[in-house]
Amino acid sequence: MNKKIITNKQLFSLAAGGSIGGSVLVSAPLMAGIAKQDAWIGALIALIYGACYIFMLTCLSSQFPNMNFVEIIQTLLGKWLGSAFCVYYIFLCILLSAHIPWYVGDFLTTMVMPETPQYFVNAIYIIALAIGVSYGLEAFARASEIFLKAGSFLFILAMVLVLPNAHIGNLQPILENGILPPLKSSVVLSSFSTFTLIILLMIYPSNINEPKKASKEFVKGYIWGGFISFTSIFLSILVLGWNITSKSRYAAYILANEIEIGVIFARIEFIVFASWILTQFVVNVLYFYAGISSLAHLLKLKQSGKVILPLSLFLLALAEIIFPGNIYQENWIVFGWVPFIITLGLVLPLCLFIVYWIKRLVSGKQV
Amino acid sequence: MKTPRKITQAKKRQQASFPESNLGSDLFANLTRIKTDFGQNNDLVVNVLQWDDNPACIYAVLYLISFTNKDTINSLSDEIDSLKNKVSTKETYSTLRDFFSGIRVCKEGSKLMDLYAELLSGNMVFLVNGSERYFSVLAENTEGRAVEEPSAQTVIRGPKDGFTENLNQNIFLVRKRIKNTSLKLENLSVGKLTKTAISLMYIKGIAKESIIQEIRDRINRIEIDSILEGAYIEEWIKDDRYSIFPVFLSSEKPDSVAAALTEGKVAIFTDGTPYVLSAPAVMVDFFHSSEDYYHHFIISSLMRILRYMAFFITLLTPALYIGITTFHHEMIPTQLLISIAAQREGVPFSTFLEGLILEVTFEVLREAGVRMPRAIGPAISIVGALVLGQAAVDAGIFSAAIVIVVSITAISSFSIPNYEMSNAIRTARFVFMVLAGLIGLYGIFVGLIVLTLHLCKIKSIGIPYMTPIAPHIKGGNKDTFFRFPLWSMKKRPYGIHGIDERRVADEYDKQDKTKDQEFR
Amino acid sequence: MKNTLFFLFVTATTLIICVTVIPNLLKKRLYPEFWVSIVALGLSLLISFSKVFDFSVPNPSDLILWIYSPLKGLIQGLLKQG
Repeated sequence: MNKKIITNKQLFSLAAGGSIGGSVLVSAPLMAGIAKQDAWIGALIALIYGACYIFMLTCLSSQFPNMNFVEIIQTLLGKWLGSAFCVYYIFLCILLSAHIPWYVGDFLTTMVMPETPQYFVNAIYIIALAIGVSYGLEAFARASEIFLKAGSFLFILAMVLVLPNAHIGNLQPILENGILPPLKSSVVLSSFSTFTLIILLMIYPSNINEPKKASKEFVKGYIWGGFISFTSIFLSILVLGWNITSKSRYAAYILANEIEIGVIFARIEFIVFASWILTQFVVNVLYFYAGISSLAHLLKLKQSGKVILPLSLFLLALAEIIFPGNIYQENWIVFGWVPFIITLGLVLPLCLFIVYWIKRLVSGKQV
Repeated sequence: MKTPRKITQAKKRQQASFPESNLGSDLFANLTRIKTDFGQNNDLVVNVLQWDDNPACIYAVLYLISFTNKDTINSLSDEIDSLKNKVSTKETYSTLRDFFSGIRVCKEGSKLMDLYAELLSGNMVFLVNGSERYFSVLAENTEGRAVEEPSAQTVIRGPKDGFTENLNQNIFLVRKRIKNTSLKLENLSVGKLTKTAISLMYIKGIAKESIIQEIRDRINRIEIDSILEGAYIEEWIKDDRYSIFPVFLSSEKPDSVAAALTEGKVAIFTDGTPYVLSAPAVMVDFFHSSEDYYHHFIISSLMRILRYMAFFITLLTPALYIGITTFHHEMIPTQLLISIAAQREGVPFSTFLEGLILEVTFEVLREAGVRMPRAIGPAISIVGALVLGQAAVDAGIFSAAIVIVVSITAISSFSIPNYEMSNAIRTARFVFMVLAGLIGLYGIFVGLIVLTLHLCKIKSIGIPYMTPIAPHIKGGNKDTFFRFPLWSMKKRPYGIHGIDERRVADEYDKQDKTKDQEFR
Repeated sequence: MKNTLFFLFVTATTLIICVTVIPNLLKKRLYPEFWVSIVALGLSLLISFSKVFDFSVPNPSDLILWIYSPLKGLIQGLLKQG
């Protein structure tokens, strides 16, 4: 038995961490920019259809209980088209693995330690990342349980502490411009927190010890993550108002700046950063792991652990050039990232589903 | 008594014709062989005896004088005297053997190597002329340290006996606590040169078969010439050899080993050391003390929480101090910031260097405290406390705040019950200090992430190190951070135990507990 | 100065990897792994060179933008404010 097995609880943590990490600090300003004070409704909508989406993913992958996502693509789309999509998928994984260090570096160098060079922050982060991936899926899945618990606890703590500063007036008027702007903003949130969970198909259901009950945990994990994202957006708007939220790049951190209860609970905005980096790390290791394991599958690597070190260095270099500046990044999110992740996260699985049904209808039985 | 005859050439030739490993029937040839093999060893005593009234029966008694109990030798010679008239020429060997196996622990054999093993474990060997077999009588000298209070793992309440260097005595101390036939003992011998006796002890049914088998296999795979302490075994059979965290619970208290056995662990006794290993051990086991179960559960739980706090204080305080004062002034309340800044005025070092120097100094003091002769202990404390603490601050070389930080770290590192775990944490602390000095709180966060990953990665005999926490076991955390009352811990720790899962009998659940309650 | 340090860091790490990991891969005949490593290391070196000598290398983010540039108008209508 060489296969790595993780428990359902760990799948829950990975799904929740994956969903929180992508979104909690970054998506609020974009959403507030689109939907103004109704961004939180967008978050709710995203949560609802996201759960349906996750359900669809589990339906798709449970038809192939022993395959990971790359194998499913190759089985359904044939060798050449399948491989092309695999390359695109690996591209997504590697690109996103470099994005997240960029976010961490950018956050720290703009908000906390302006005098530190960004590559230095990135380097330390990527060393941790390389260690996390080289320890393997099982170890990492176990650690994600702790990361998720600690991250959720710190985040909820921060949110509870900031609650006294809420102004209910910031939410009004509700649905000023109709339901359309919140719907639009929900697309942005789900491109950060929902469609990114496509990478979990690399381990679900082939590496789960009880695949029967796992789909429930997957959806539950997503809902927990979506709830945390919703809380962060809701409270950002409730406390800061949509205007400030849309203008500050890391809204939840600015939000935690507002915490001031007594002497002890002042200046603890770092706990938001801690909870963010913990969940962010979960996403990042997942992406890096997915990238390496699909690369290993595509190129038939025998010992995929050997390429972690060179690829980590590549990530470090990539994180240096990937976004020349903040304006570029904001532009890229809207015009690059959203269609990119929708193609791979939503359109590709839908296509796979359709191909699967057609093949099934043609052959009259299981493919 | 007679000394053996001089070795003649004929004898030597005869000796050469022996089958390599078996005894011959000629007593003197055998003795010569043994003597040449042992060489000029003046603690090997060879007594060749002959009864006056029965000149044909010659036999020899061999033992290592340094190793054999004098009382046993004396009483044996008395016993032999009482036999005198019963021995007939032909059956000397069987008569002697039957007589001794009736009253003493005897072993029989015909292989030369086995004979040497018997001699080297302190037993008396009888060889009889005309017989190709030998038998040995247990006469091991069990003298050694008496059972004393353990020196490293002290308790206030609870049994105060500790293991000694004697394997059999250690086994007795545990067996005395678990009076059950399902307590099994397996003897192994490891070390090509030292042939150290190793005993595996477990409770059949409670310990998991696969774990016992794994430990047995791993110990059998050890290829080393000498085993002088249990740590040799730990280092050989550890899952992750480069990890600094201990994965075997070493204890010098029989009661904690007995408790570990009832949890389904396997105890590994090594001859010659008062430390007994039990495995598999998970992270939280190293924060438990046997005393936890001897006090009220609420008080024990609070003590445990204190220990976990001590863990984080040891690991993080110096790093946090360095990180915050170097990179994150804004996080310190203004009053405190002013006070720290005032203290640091005139201090020539950076906070990081200051912290590093003092922490290293503390480590040196600790090491000196362990190694120095007992008599000069107070001198070290005076030098440590007064010269380093007081005078360094007065002279303006170090700030008072860093001395406080280092002292807190030092004290809390000793409230972790297991010394190996405390060592591991104190080592990891330096890594955190470096990270904090490099890049502040962010470095500490990344360090914590890597530490968590590492702790989740390592395993103890196939059991993940963080077991009841990650992977999270539902209902398995009753004996982790808190100590739940004994009557509520109905099951043994998950993943370790075998078939017998319950600690408290099923019937207890079915009892009508309301009956016992009194309302006044 | 800042970029020079980055360049030095990348170069040093590349050298260390080349000395320690790469010969092992060849010895064990893991050729796919070898090529992946070489490409990754080469690209990192290229990027770090570009940082020091100030020439631009193609940015993968630009590639994504280019791929989806036909949709730009659609997205503009969908996601931008108003």
